[in-house]
Amino acid sequence: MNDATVLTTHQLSKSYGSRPAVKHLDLDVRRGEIFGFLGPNGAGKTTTIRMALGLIRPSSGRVEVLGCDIARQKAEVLPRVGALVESPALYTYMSGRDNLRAFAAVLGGVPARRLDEVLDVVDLRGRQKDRVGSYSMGMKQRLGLAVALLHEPELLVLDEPANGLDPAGIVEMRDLMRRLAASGKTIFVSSHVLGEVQQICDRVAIINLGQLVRVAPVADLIGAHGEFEVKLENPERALQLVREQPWGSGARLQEGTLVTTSPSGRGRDLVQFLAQADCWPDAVSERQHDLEEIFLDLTASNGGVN
Amino acid sequence: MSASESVLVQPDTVRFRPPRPSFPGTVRGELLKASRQLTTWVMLGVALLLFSIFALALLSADQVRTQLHASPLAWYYTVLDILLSLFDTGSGIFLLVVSARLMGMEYSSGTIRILLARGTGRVELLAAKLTALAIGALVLLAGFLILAGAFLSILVRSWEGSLHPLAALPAEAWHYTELQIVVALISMGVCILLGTTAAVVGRSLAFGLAAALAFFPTDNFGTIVLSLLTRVTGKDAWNQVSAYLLGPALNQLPVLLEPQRQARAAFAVPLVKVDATHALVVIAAYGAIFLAASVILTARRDVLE
Repeated sequence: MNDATVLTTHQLSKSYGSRPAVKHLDLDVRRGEIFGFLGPNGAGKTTTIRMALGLIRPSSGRVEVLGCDIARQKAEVLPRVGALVESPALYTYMSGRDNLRAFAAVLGGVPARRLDEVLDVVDLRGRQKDRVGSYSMGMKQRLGLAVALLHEPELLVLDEPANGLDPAGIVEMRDLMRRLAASGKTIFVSSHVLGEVQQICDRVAIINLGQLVRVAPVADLIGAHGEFEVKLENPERALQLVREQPWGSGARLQEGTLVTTSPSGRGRDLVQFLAQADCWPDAVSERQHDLEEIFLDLTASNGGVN
Repeated sequence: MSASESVLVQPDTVRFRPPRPSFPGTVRGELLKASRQLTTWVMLGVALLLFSIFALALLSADQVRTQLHASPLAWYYTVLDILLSLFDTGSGIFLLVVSARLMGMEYSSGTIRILLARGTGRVELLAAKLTALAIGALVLLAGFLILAGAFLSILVRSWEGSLHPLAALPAEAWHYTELQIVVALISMGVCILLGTTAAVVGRSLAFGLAAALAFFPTDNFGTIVLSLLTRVTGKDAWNQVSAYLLGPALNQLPVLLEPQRQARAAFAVPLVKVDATHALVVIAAYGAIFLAASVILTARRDVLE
């Protein structure tokens, strides 16, 4: 692990009895990035996060966080990590501010001013004296994030931060994560809201049935399919022409649009081929898969979505 | 949230020492959590109310006044026994509830994962909770002693016109008072360990509270069951078992520590003759088992909450 890596798992595995939850997982999260950790329910995301935070012990393998082995140096490294694991865990009988005070007391050295600042960050200053039991789910989620931010962590681990949030809350959370990343924090976020992940993450890892299926930059994942959508007057004839070519066997029509690869992988060669056959395209665009499609493809081919 | 932008973009605007879990800080956090629980204050309020009712009842009892005039020592023993029996029972229930809540709520609300994910050691967290509860218990005892002392002083002064009957009590009265305070401390310690262990074992507030509150009624009732079994089977071994029950040992301890007084214990006592050493060993063994179970389970189990 080098300075650019803040979280690494080495052949990380966890079994509950005979049931494996995570199998030989190798991950690297780089400093300053927003790293998405995706997988269907029961894929092993939360188990991995709990192992990364020292809450459960791996059956084998190890986790390094900020250069420290989590099994041996928990007390040194975890205060530099902020975590929001699953639903926000708070003392509902206490006020928002008292919750922050209680969590801050554990590590000590947090000035009262910092409490005000994190309350501002999550936009809860106006409700700080209210009992947390009276908060909405979104407010609890934001307070959970404020707890995670109390000590200026270098790494934020957020497990399903959009859980239970309404659309406006999801947008707020997304904006907040962007601003946190802009302030230099590394964010490791697990989610099944793929649209959100696609919008904010630099790289994603997809896990299914405890195994890593794919790690790649989001841009590579959604643009890596090399297909083009072609709108033209006579798509049936164009389809027939393309299918006769060795590179066009996968061509198909989707809602009147020709979907095909190109002779060389470049769009202009496809346009040239069609033009030479007198099938002038009205429009050609590179096909962008969204993350959801890719996620479903990858998880289905790896054992299916639970 | 634009006002907060600068906080995120310039994280160094607020400077504080590098974070590191601290035991005193964790204890402070636990005291804050306990002090913010409504149940804590409701129970203390009820205790104060019951004490006031007891005080009024005592004030209106003519025979107690007569006893004070005739034999201040006997009067002092009577009042002290009643007051400390009430305190032992009340503080026991209070500490069972508070300790089971303080530990159980971390599991039930899932906050244990947040605390541990900040680098607090598991056993350190348990130790901080026990320390906070011990501090609370000492404050409770000190408050009770101040309240009881003030009440007795006012009572004696108003009935006898001076504090002389109290001041003239022989040294054995104060020795007896000290022994009773030691018994109260032992009882509070066991209750804290029991409440905490119940919550740790069940990893739940509901289980912790139910198990903690059911323990003493169950083992007090156990002596009746053992007595019946002795009669039915004709075997004295059942009676012998009662010598190893926690509740009866605690109930009998004040009497065993001061046998000359020939006082009677409140609630169930062992069905066979035991001495003070035996009772203390039984109580210590239960305490050690509770503590060991809490430490081992807290340290070894995965946090799945």
